Amino acid sequence: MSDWRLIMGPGTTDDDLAAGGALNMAVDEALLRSVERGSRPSLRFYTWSPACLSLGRNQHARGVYDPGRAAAAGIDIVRRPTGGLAVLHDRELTYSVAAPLAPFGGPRAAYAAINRALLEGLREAGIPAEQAAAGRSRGPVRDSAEPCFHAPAPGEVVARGLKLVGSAQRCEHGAFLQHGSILLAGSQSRVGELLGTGTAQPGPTTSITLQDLLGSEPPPAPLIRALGAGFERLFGTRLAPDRLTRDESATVQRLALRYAGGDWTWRR
Amino acid sequence: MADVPGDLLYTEEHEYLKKTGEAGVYQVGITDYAQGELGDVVYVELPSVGDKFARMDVFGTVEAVKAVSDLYCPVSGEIVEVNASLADDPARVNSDPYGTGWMLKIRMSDESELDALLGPEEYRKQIG
Repeated sequence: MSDWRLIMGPGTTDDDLAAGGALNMAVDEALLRSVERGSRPSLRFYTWSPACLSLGRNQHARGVYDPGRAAAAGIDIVRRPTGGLAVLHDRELTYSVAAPLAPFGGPRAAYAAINRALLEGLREAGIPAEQAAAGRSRGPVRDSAEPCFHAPAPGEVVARGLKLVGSAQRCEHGAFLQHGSILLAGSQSRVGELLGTGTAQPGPTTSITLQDLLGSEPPPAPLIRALGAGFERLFGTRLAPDRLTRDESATVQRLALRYAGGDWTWRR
Repeated sequence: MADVPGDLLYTEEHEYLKKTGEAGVYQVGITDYAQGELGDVVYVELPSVGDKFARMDVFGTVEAVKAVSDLYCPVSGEIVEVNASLADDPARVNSDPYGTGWMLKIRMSDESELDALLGPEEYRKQIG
């Protein structure tokens, strides 16, 4: 594969990783659109400030999550363009990949390949991670208040049998976007605190953080270097640090309005 | 080996078009190959009856495991029926894509668009 772009944070500086939920989703979607138009694949790393609950594209949220409780806790809410279930982005590192589907062979093959690259990188960082065993995936998403980290899906990255990375994907026009949360510290069970009073609390999450594994919360920079090395080795590519183009920045501005709007976040 | 029925038409994006008993009305879904590539389908987002689409417009999405994929309308026309049973049982898309896993029925506005679709042999070649 050709060289990949390495994008950090909102794609406008070299070292600032953090952005708000709407901006983060807009940058990821803009990178997907660039690949659809023939741009090189990209690997992006970012964090979220303020902390943010991201919902799956098709997940029911109206009447399930309580925006008042989220606001009181200082937590933003955004709906992702990708599938899957709710993730609380706080004390974590998010990766995203935008690339053409054809070299990977299809959505599932791409999902598995990205997870293998993450594993490669985590092991490079000395983290004993592995892929979750194959098995049945969860049932319909529409009524589920279950968070993403409630249980690993087949092929996802786990450690000690517990979920360490939660990922989701979107495919369109021969390209895909896959992004996911690598837990550094904290607890995903806080997602339950954002549920409305009429929603039953899900069972305990079965997630694990890098702090659990390493004894302390690792700084993002060395972890990003190790993960990048994993992608370079697995895909035989070189990561070239890059920023958003002027066209991409304009797309981001337009998309961020949509992601910040209630029509999209509370569409279901 | 994915099932490619000989009496259907196909798109490069893996939707199929199947004749119904009513002239000008066709059933649309995704192919056996597509459902196999996606994996277990957990949600199908469909349009409403009366919605109108041009050829290759996005008419909905299908979510499998954690992947959301766009669904493309193979031909231009108006939706006359959607498969409401997929809301409760989206796995029908996997178990019976050409039967109970159908997604919508569309009344074509320009039947000459059928010429642009792939025949079964062409589609078999595409999925190799």
